[in-house]
Amino acid sequence: MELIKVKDYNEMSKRACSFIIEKVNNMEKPVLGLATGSTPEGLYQNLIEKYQKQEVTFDHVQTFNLDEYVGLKKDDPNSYDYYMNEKLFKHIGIPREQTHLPSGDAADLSQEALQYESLIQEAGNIDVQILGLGLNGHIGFNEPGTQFSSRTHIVQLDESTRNANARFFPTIEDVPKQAITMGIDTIMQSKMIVLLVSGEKKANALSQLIDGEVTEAFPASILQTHSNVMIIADQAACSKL
Amino acid sequence: MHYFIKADRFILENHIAEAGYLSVENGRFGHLTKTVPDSAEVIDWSGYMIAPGLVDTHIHGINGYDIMDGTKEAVRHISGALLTLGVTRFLPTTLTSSRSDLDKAIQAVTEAVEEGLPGALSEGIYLEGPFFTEAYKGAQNPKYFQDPDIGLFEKWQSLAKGNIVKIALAPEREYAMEFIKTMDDKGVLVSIGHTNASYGCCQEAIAAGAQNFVHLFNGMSGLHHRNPGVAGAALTDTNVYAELICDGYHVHPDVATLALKVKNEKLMLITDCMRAGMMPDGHYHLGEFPVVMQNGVARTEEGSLAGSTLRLIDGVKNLHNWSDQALFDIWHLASLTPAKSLERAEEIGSIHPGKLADYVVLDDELSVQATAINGNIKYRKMTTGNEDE
Repeated sequence: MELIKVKDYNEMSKRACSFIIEKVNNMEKPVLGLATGSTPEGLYQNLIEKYQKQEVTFDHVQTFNLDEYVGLKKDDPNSYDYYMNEKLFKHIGIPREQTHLPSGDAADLSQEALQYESLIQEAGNIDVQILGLGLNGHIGFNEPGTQFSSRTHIVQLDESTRNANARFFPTIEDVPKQAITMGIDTIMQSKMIVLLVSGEKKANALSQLIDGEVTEAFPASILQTHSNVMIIADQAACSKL
Repeated sequence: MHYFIKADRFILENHIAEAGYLSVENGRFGHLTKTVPDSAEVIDWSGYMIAPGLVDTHIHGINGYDIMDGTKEAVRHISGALLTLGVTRFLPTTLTSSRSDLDKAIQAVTEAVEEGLPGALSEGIYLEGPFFTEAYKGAQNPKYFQDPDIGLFEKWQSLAKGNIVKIALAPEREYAMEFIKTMDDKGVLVSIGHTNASYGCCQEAIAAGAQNFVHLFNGMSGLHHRNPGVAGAALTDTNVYAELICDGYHVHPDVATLALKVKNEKLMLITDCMRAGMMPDGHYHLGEFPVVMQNGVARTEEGSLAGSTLRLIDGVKNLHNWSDQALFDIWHLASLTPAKSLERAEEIGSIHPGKLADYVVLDDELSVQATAINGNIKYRKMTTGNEDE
């Protein structure tokens, strides 16, 4: 694992952006793995600015996102599909058919999971996977305890996640109960992984990721065994190293 | 289902109320109280303000989709996008086009609504055209302009299963008065627009039953002191509603505030938004016309403003900044006034006991944090779950 320390969130986003652009500009058919959450938003904003300055184009790029809520259609503004379109896709001129997210409203979800895996394989696997780091070490919706051998699968959202969301919904039934996510092995298959970490509250998680043991109790620890991981972390996130 | 919204401020009809608990029961608002029983279920929005859901009565599209796409997908996407902007109800609005394109659009809206929309709910279809006048065509295609035709309207109304609630027309066209009277009898609202009618003709149209003017000052003859024209008719009649696009481009800010002083609560904020709303600058089309959006302003090749890319909440903020009127007054021009214009104020448009609980959660910058329809929170700004990543 290569650790690149940067000053702050902005630096992290810029550094990640330059790296992605170099890849995109130098590859014939780059395949990017993308994540939602607040950490990569700065990266996406930077990519949009570079696109506007015509320093990069995305016509030849394919993307695969990590996860999606089950039961939400693409046009639901709470879906990750909608989120990605708003935060990135519609601003960078990428043909929407080249952007992939697992479908949360597929009739047969296990079939959808298999299909998503084969789509990734047909694309020749992910060249660069962007990841954020969950406080408990989760990556994608792979919570602690998920098998390292997992492929794209359906997860039950745990009670704490659902309760945290419950205040937004008058009835608990309205809170999504499941998500469909790339498995840990799916993520590990990526040729390269770029992990973005920012802020003091991530310091413990980053320290555990780098110095802790490799255990399913802390999913991100598996990254220690990947041959090509770049961690871009700001000073605050590195404060416990 | 009974819960209370705890918040710092609430935009009520005549004032902004301070911190309290707003009851929501079975999808409708109850009373605002200072305390709640210990057992009450409370949704805590401390630090935020609760406002009535916005109602956009004139909107063609947004976020890359347009009602004239004629697909259910477009209608659903528009509905979803509006929700994120605090709009809870809207009139899917068509524009002048070929018979077959209009048929298709009307059918698509009707089917999408029947199957259920993911976000903002439809209050019925608004036909902007095709009974207009070339002199003020704006971005409407004059190739399809014609005289009002009740038979044609009836065909559309039957395709829409009775859901066309409003139609815009130029009253100087032949058969217009008869058409307006028929609409009035049927309970369909008539709006005057894209017209070169005389002041007197507009007054006649109002007497026949027209209740609304389409985007005031745009697509109409202006106010002249010896010849009041269409704008004059819209301003001098105190009973009719006038739509206003408060993006700062369609109407000068000072003229917008002048219109507010004259029309008061009959001034109705709308967007007239087209597909480029929420989208980056670039090339789009409106109906059959290519449109270029630069710095958020969309124009046809001839240079006409081609709809807007305004968000209704930004219209509210703009007019609030331009005028000296209180926020609760301006907000209601985009919620209660449109509800009244649709004769739906008994049910929607303000936070009032018994009305449907459509509301928006706002931060200090009036940025939308969450949107609820019929008491159900349908959208929240940060999707959670992976939020800590």
